Amino acid sequence: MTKLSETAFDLLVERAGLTLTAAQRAEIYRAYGAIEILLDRVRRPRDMSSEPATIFTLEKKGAP
Amino acid sequence: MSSDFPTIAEASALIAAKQLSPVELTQHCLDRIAQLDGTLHAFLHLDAPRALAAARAAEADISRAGPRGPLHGIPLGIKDIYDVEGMPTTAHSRQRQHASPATADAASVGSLAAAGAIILGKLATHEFAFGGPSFDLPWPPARNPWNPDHFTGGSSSGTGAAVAAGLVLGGLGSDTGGSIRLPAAYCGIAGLKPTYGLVSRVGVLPLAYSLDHVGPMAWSVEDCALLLQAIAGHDPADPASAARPVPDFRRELDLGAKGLRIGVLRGFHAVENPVNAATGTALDGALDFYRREGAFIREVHLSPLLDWRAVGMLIMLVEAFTVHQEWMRGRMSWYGERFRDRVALGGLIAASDYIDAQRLRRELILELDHATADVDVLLTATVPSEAPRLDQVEKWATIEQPNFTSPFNVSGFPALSLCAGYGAGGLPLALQLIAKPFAEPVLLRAGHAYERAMPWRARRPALAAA
Repeated sequence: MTKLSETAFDLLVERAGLTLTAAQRAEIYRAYGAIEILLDRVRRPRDMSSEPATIFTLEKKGAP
Repeated sequence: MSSDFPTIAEASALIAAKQLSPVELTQHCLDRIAQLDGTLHAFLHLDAPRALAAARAAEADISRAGPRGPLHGIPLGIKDIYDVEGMPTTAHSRQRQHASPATADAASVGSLAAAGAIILGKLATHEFAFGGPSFDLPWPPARNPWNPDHFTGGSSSGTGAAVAAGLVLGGLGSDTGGSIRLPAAYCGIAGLKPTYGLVSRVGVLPLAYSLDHVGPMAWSVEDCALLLQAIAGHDPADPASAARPVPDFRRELDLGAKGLRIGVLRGFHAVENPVNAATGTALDGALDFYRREGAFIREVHLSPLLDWRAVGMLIMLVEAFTVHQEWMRGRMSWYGERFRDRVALGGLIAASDYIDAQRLRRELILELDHATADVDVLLTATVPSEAPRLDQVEKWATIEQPNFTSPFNVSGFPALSLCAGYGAGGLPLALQLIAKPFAEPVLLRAGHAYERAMPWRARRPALAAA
């Protein structure tokens, strides 16, 4: 069951620039509950120094 | 031709010995496509005249100078998210239904062509590699050759079906959360998701940049090794491409299982997402085999599947929405329902949550790296059961249910699905092996050792054998 209010959900949809039919909106709103379960898994206290996996390194091209 | 279903390795040996003509082999595949594809819907685009012309050229080249390598004259199919010069790339979508033919090959396709392979055409996929199986697209979904009422798995659905039915001897798929391994499992073939960065993604429509992998699908593990040999290697045009020398992927193939250190992810397939009895028996049977052959088996424990699932799915949805944002805002109705509604969720996820998913991703990768320090391969399930009926594949299952494949897209570790027998209804069972980054030789060794000892490769779908 989706915890987010329908009003808040509609704001997310508007911010995403999506135009949904009533039927699409209803179904995606219901499915958003599954996303909330996933979000709860990644939102956990972390030290500020915890870096994402996307941090990259530059290869030393041409180095002696 | 003595066998209706030669593997790439078998056909290659026959071609090299001039006992099999590439033209004969290509025509054989085309005949099977004509006979079976009306039922299987594996192909979206087939170019028979071009394939036969290429086969004749291969035959002439081989007669003059011998084969360039094991893929010379071998008919293959390509998932329809890859560019093949002269063929449209439709992604099985109305969005690209009338796409102009590609002007250049994808990097991996070009490598296969340079190796002398014969590209027969483009194969069915879930819409943009994420939205299926769907019945509201310009083309129907592919069907499982073992039972056409059943799901092929996806998203490399057409490749799985075509290889299992002998319409092609091998093919390319892509894997963002399991899309090579899942159809390999349900269609009873071998499918390899290589290490992230081992194979160039150039010329392949993206789904999720940091999760997409390019890889081979074929009847056997050895055939996957042959295909991988042709397509692996650094591509400066791919920002994720690894600058590493390419090993001989067959160098360890025949070393057997003795001495292998195997870590069993029993928590995944016996506790958190319990597989059905047939799959459990197959996995235990595989472990018994490895034990008998002198491998060392122990349990390995990782963070819960749901953690891996959360990371993989949130990242995939956000990246996929970003890839498709223009069309999602401007012509959303051109997508099929499953792709459209799933990817819409990606637009609703906050940037901070995407970053938190990437932070947890780093933690999980470090954990996996530590957990595999003293093992050669991990073993778990690919799927929890045999292929379900096509009309019973739930729309939201891919979002709601943790799977066994996504952790190795999240981590980029190479993973191989191979046939582990057949269930009571005759549908294939599968197991999954995982190795450390760039350790494909030992991964293929472990898979080949099991596969050649088992009788599973002697059986083909009854529909295909008729």
